Amino acid sequence: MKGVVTVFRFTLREALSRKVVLAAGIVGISLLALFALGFSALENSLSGQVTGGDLSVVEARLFPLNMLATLGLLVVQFVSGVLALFLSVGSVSTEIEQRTIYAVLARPIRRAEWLFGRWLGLALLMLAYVAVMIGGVLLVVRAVAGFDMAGPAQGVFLVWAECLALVTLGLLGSTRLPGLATGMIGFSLYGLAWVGGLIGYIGDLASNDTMVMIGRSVRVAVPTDGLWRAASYNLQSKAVLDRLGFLGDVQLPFVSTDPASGVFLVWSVFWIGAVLAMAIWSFRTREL
Amino acid sequence: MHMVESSPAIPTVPASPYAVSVRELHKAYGRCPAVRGLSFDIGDGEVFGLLGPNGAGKTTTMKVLVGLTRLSSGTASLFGLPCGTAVSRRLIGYLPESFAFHRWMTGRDVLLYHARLAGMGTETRGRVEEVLARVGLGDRGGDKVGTYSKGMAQRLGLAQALVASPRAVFLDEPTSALDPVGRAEVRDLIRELRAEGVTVLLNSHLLSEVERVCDRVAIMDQGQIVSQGTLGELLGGVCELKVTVDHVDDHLWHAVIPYGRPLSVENTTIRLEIPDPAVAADVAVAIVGAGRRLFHLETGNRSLEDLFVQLVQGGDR
Repeated sequence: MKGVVTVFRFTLREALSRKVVLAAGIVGISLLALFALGFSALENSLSGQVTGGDLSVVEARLFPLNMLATLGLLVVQFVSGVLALFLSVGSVSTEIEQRTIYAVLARPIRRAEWLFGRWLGLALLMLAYVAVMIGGVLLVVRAVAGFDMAGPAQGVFLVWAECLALVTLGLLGSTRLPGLATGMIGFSLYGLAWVGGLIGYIGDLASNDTMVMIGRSVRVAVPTDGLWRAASYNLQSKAVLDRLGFLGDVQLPFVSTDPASGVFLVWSVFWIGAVLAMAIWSFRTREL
Repeated sequence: MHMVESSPAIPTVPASPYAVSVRELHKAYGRCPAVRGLSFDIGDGEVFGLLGPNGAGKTTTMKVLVGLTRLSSGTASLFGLPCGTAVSRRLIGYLPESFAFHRWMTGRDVLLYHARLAGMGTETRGRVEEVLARVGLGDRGGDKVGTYSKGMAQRLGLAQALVASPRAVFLDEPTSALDPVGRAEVRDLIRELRAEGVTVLLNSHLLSEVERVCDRVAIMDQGQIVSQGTLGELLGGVCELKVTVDHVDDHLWHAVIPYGRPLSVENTTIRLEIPDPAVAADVAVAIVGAGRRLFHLETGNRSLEDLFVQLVQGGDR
């Protein structure tokens, strides 16, 4: 356990010393600033309007504000996912290529402990990044528009779980492949999951069972998009969700207006655990 | 300094006469054999040199011993413990070949990281300062590794191998990046380790380095040990004769060849392996008898380099 803690601390220090975290921080701050400007502008334009006709207050004011907030969070989860991949795809392979790992693994630490320490470090980093970024967006929403999301803590947790899935996938690839190859595969699967989610969404709209099945299959194989959709339900205004529920089966392309099923969430946890176990096995059996 | 007693990380180990014991070690990468039936022992506190050309299997052997690579068959143990286990790795320090450290860390950070991985406790910081001073980096420990010269990085590598007060140190090409002064310092360090009772396994291409510090040597070629023993055993009983004459031709060659085994001919200098120094006088008579002028004659023991070249080039096989 002491070895795990040592590697965990090392991973945090290493990540903070790398420019990718600095770049992600700058992108994050820029993103929050841009979102705050756009969201304030939208709120100003909406606050002057008088609702009437068939539109309720919720539809006239909260719908567009909620939509913009959701789009902002969509970008936040994308940047977080990219950061998760960038941090993880080279975390083992770079150590091997640069030959920094040889003296380390000659120490009385098991490879499983070393990899788990790495994973824990990256997991904590991603939790901090996701919490700060989503928290920033939600603070802007509350300060400007005065409404809260349905389940902010659950939303942060689910976006973090998405990042954790990507971190674990990156670590698995990194135990056998160079960073570039793992990055290509990781981004491809990340994109594949996103496309699978869209296919499922369109299949749902068009009542096409094949497309719905494709979407579900991709979600099972790579649960990242499913986790984002689960998070997005919690990161929308409760009033908007209630109104959408009242209006009927209304779906949006990149977000979900329904909570995720418990089975999917359990599967996602199992998926992350299984991929981590594969990464540990792969690293343990690798010849150095 | 008491290297063994000072660290709480050192576990209790079964009594074993050998620090390293290897029996019929085989290691193959896929279908490619890297080590074939290696057997050798290294006594506790001994300095043992592993020599061989590139691809001989020296580094693979060392990797098996430190647990970076699994053996295909055979046995290998450290102080009676199976190698590759966490317990046996507590007893060793390892300097890999062509290693690197994270450039963003300071030298002190690197050593603290390794000391903690080795399971050291409260004495860590004091020990880190001690080994930094020992390798001559006492005043540069706070600098980032990225600012170190090759020689300084190599010294840091040595400090890393020593930081957990190991009972055995495995050094893979420890002087490869060092200038002559640095090499001399490493030789002194190895001698100090021997005096402290620390076992040293040294992989090196630099035969003169090995010759100067090792108690025993094994020469490897194509994954096998082709010769091993003390330097006296390997080099003793064989005498080298070097003669310089005015002209070398077939006539002279036929005159001297009955007296010994030719090692080399360079311009007008011939080197022969002769069974006894007294034979040198007979060679001198033969040269003069062949009508040649003898400018220089010198006898001496055969060098490790000659033996190495002879063994790995197939001279005796």
